[in-house]
Amino acid sequence: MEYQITRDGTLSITRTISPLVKSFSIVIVFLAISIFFTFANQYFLTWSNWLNLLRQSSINGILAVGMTFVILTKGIDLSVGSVMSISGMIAASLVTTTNEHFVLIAIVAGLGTGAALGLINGLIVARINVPPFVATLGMLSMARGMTLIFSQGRPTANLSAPFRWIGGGDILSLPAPVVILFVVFGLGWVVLSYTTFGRYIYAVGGNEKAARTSGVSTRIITGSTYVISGLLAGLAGLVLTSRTTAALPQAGIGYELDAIAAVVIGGTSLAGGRGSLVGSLFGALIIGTINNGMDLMDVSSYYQQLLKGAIIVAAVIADQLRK
Amino acid sequence: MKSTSRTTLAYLATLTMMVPASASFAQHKIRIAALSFGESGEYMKAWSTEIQNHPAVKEGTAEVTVFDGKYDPLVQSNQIDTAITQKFDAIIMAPFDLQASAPPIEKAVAAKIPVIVSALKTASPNYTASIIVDDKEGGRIIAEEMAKRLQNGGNVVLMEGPIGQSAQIERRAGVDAGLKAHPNIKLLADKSGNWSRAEGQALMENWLLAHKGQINGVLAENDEMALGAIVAMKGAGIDLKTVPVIAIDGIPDAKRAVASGDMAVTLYKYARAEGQGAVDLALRHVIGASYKPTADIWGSLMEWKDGMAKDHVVPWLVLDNSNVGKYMQ
Amino acid sequence: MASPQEGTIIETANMTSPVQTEQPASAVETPLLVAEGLTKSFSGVPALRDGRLVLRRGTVHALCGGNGAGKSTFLNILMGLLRRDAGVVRLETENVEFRNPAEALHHGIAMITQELSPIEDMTVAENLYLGREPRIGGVFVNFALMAKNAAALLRELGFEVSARAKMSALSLAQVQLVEIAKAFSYNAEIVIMDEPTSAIGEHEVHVLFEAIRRIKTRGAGIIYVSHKLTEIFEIADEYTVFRDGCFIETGRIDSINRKHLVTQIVGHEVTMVEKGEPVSAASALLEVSNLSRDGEFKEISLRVAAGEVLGIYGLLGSGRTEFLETIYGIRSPTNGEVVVDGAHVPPGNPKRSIRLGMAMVSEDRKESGLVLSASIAHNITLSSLARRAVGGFIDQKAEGETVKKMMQSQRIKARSPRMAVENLSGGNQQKVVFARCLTTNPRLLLCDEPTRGIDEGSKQEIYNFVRKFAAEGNAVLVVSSEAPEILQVSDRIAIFKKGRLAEIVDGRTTTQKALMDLAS
Repeated sequence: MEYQITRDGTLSITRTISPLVKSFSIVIVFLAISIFFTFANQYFLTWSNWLNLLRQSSINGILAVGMTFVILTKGIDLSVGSVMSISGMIAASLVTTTNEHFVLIAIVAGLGTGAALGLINGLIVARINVPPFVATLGMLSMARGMTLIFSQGRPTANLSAPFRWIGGGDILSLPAPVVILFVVFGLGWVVLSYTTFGRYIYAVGGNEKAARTSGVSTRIITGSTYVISGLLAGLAGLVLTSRTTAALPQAGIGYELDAIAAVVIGGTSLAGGRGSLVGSLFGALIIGTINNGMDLMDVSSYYQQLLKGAIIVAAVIADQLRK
Repeated sequence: MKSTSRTTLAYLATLTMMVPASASFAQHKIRIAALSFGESGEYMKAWSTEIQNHPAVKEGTAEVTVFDGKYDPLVQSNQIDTAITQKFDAIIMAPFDLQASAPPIEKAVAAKIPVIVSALKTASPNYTASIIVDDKEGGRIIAEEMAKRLQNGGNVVLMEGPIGQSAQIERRAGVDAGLKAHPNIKLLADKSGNWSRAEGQALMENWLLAHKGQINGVLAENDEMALGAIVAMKGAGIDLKTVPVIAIDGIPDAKRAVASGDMAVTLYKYARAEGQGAVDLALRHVIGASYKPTADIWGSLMEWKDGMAKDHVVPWLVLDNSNVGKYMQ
Repeated sequence: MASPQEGTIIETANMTSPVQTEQPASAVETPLLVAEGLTKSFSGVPALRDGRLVLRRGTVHALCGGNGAGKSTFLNILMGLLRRDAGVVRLETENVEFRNPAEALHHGIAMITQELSPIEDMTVAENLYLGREPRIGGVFVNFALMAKNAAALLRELGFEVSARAKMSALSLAQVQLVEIAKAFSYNAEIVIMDEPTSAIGEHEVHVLFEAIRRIKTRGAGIIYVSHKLTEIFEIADEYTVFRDGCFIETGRIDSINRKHLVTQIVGHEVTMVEKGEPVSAASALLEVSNLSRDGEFKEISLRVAAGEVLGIYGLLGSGRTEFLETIYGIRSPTNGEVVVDGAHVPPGNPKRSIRLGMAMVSEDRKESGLVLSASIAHNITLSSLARRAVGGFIDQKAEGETVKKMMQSQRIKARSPRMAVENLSGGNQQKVVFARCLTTNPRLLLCDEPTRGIDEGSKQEIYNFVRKFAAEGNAVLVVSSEAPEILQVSDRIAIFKKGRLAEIVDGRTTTQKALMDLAS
């Protein structure tokens, strides 16, 4: 922290950009909440509860990684819940007992569906300049419609065991979804912190015009974030479908809101250009902890909704004050 | 002197040791997790309320934690994980999805926690016990009641629950079987209203236009959708005495509709039976043969026997305007 | 340029002792405003140590000083935006202390601020009368009357702005005109103008000065703050210089010259930039043929040789910025061709333009030059990131070295390259923009109003840099609305008039007056 007299004569405390410092506060919030629940419930601090917590947060965490990319460029992706659903549905249709293919094919199909729908979002936003809120809201409906048409409103069950392992299996005694989350988070973090692509994302979100003047292909960068979000929504869809062992046409409804909440709580600004994946990860963990902890304390789900909303508002206010 | 102080110390020590000992003699409360599939619906709310009003809970022998499944099988799966970690003594579950509920239930059973399935079925064969209405029978009954009122045949429309849920599958099968016996009744249209009153209303409005003047009766797999249909029909000026509406659940609004003549029949589902009955079954499996059930449904409505039967079927109660007055509470 | 004048000149024995001139003859009556010994500190750090100013009726008093000189703090105290720690402010005979701008307004002090913050979705009239709209029955806003009054005011001032236009539709210059009109509408006795001409063109400056002279005759006093020394010498009667939070000197403008003022402001002698000889054998580095953009400029052809600085001068709306942006690729032309170093430049593609050796310093650095939320380092390397990356991964070490070199060579004053750019002074921010442009090793530099809102010291550094850059065999295109600046820096000057290239004149022999005549 340094003091400086700026042009307009006021004193300013200059901030050195350090993403870790900014995310630090979210870690503190997470620890505080955890400590609270540790005292409130004797089982909170057990290894098996923590595995539960991580597993329960993994789907939202994967979505939050993709959502962070999009929100950093000042955009938003409301379609992830629906994209999850159609991706899971298509993948499931390839591994039922009556139509069993290699799991890998189903995985590719699921991821491909997500990426393709994300690409459509990206093109509409970046090339045709439709506001992201509107474009992805449209995709939310379209993808949900696709799911219903594809499934004829019926669930797809009897999935092959290898496919079910994605959501239900273990890797080195950690649940597979948790490992997937950490891999996704790790990759995302490396990309955002160490690659030109990641740097460009921050620039485009911070000031698109300046980025364009500096020679950044802003349209490609913006569009790519939607592809990433769609791809990760597809991945989350695979995990969800595999965990519930059935692809349900109403799967994923409302999941985009929790993803956005995780990102916002984690400190990424909706105005673009500021934020980190670490924050989003902890945001997802905080939401998961609250769900888990409050269930343990037998708090009515009505109050849980209220509290979650209050935390989101508090996070946005904190972001405003920081400016 | 020294010896006295040593004796006093000894007395004090024994006293303090007795405290935890007596604590261990104190009642160990039996903890039951009740997994509702969605607390925003009237039936499930009645179900969970009945569970919390069970005599054993009220007197403190058992302690119930209600989990809201938010109509999401993933949430229910997570909640079972939580119940296992939290070392609950028993789980009562109303599974939202037939298939998706199977692996979590298997997991709980493998963790040596008895699982009592209530209100809806699961695809897993390994649950401990179940206490559910016979949905297939329910479907058949409402088809029969419709046939009674359409002696000369006619066209009916059918509103269904979420496709794939056990109640929908079974009630549909029952309706089909019931209608088969009356070939002069034709099923004109069927569609899922997802248990929702609003969707039922929209569905009915569309059907009234698409099949103008052709609908003679409305069957709905649950009351909420039927009540929505009634609003639509009133809005279109249809005389509800000439077009019977028949549904399932017996929720308070439906009973009022039957009393006022808007609805012809509703099949009452005993939330107390499915709810408190499940508690008794859970306690039977935790405590053992010495347990005697305390819910008032046993004996009057259903037979307890030794409480170890795998499936307990809750009977329906047909409510029409001749008897609904007695059950308006 | 004004010739130096002898006369009642100041004694500056050393830089820290403030000195005053003898009182001008017209000071018999009580001055409008006297400020003495104003001090203000923020958390123990002093921003203003000894603020003094005497404003007489019917005069324009220029307040000069560089960055951190304390001018803004001083003005904010006068306006009631800040509470002073010590000192006295006297309006004629009354001692005052304002707690908020409303009180200051009430006492007859109005201010035109540097930062323009219009309410975008409202009309000009609504912005002008914000908070004091004429009402019907005390409740409903009388929109018709408001628009009429606004139109009359704008007409009286001679500003070409429509009272019914939405603020979002106005250009930066027009927004500033509205801001000026607003201050005038208060009919205040004291008007404080903080950089009022930073965005407007020569014609409007002329109109503004006419309005200022008019209210002067009514007996009003104006405190005028501007980095544009030409204007100060044109409109001001008296001056006061602040430096490092202290009063330095005051006196009559006609008793000093530009060089003296610059020296007082900066604190030491500043070497003015001289023009060198362009590299002969002058191959054309930039060739523009028949470049047009419908509605903005038409059929512009020119050549810039290696080693040359070509200035572009013209009134507001003559198409200068649009032309520059089209060459660079931020806008696309409807016709015409741009060739740089023999290679055809594909239109509308800044990325390719950079690859072909161009770099652009845009007009509004906050809007399109810098990513304010990012650090100095990230801004500097933004254009050239791909060159310092392997397989998409940034070479952190190479990046760090580039940043360090740039900060040194451009003399960017900051504690750490990780500092957020938004906290830098205007001059330093502009240097970051230049640094970013230079990391791509351009051969052609396009600058649009490169010294807008920058202190004198930094300005000279930028002129020096531009000349040096050209002398190395590169070329520079500079757009400026300040005649002396463009004359100082350019070898040749292209005059733009209503979207067309009127003439190209020699930078060494043309006079300011000739320039202005040719442009209008």
